[in-house]
Amino acid sequence: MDAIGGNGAMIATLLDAAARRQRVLAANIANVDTPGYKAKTLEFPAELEKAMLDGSVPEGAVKGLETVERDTPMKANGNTVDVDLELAEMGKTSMAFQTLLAVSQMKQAQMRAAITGRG
Amino acid sequence: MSIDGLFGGMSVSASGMAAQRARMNVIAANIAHAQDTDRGDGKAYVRKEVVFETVLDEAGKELVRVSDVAEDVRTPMERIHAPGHPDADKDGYVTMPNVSPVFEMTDLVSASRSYEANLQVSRMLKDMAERALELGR
Repeated sequence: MDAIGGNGAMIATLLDAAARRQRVLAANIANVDTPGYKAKTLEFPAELEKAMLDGSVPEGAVKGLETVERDTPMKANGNTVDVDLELAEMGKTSMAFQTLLAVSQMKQAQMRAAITGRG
Repeated sequence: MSIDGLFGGMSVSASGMAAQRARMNVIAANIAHAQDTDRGDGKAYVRKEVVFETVLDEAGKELVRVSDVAEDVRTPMERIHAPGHPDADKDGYVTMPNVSPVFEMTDLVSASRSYEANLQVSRMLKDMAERALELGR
C-alpha cells in the first residue's frame, strides 16, 4: 500500500494516459489543414480496460501504448481530421482526467483524516 | 509526467495557431492586392496560398508549420477590356490578379475557425494542468 491508498499508482498511470491522449488529439487539431495528415488516437486495448475495472493496472502499462490512425473519412486533400470529433474526444478525456483528480483528492482527504483523527 | 504531457499539447496547439495566423496574413495580402495590376515586374499580382506540413519535434510531437507560400498558377488570371488603363496591352486589355474576394473571405473564415479550435484546445489543456497542480493543496 502506498501513501495515497492502494490505487494511487493506478490513478497516476491513468492520468498519464489521459494527458498523452490529449497531446495526440491536440496534434490532430493543429494539423487540420495539413494535406495528407492522418488523424491519430491513443486507444486502450481490451486487456487494459479490463485491468482498469479490476483496479489492477500495472505501472508503466500506459507507456507502451501506441498511437493508431483513426478510421475517419478522408477529405479531398487526404486529411482525415474531424475537428468536431477531436474536440468531443478531448472534452471526454478532460472529464476523465478531472474525475481521476477528484478521486485522488478524496483519497488524500481520507488519508489526512486517518492521520489526524479528524474528518 | 502528466504535466509535461499537457504542456507538450499546448506547444502543438501553439504551432497550429501560428500556422493559421500565417495563413490569415497571406489571405489579407491576397485581398489587399486584388486590384494590383503591376507587382513590380510589369505583371499582375498572382494570389498566394500557404502549404502546411507536419514536423516532428525532438519529443515526437507532431507540430504543424508553413512549409511554403506558393503562387496559385492554376486559377486563371482575368483579362478585362480597359483601354484607358496604364497597364493595358496594345489591344486594350488589362490582366487582373486571380483573386476572388468571395473565395478569400470563405478561406479567411475557415482559417479563423481552425485558429479558434486550437485556442480552445489550448485553454482546455491549461485548465487540466491547473487542476492537476491543485492536487497538492
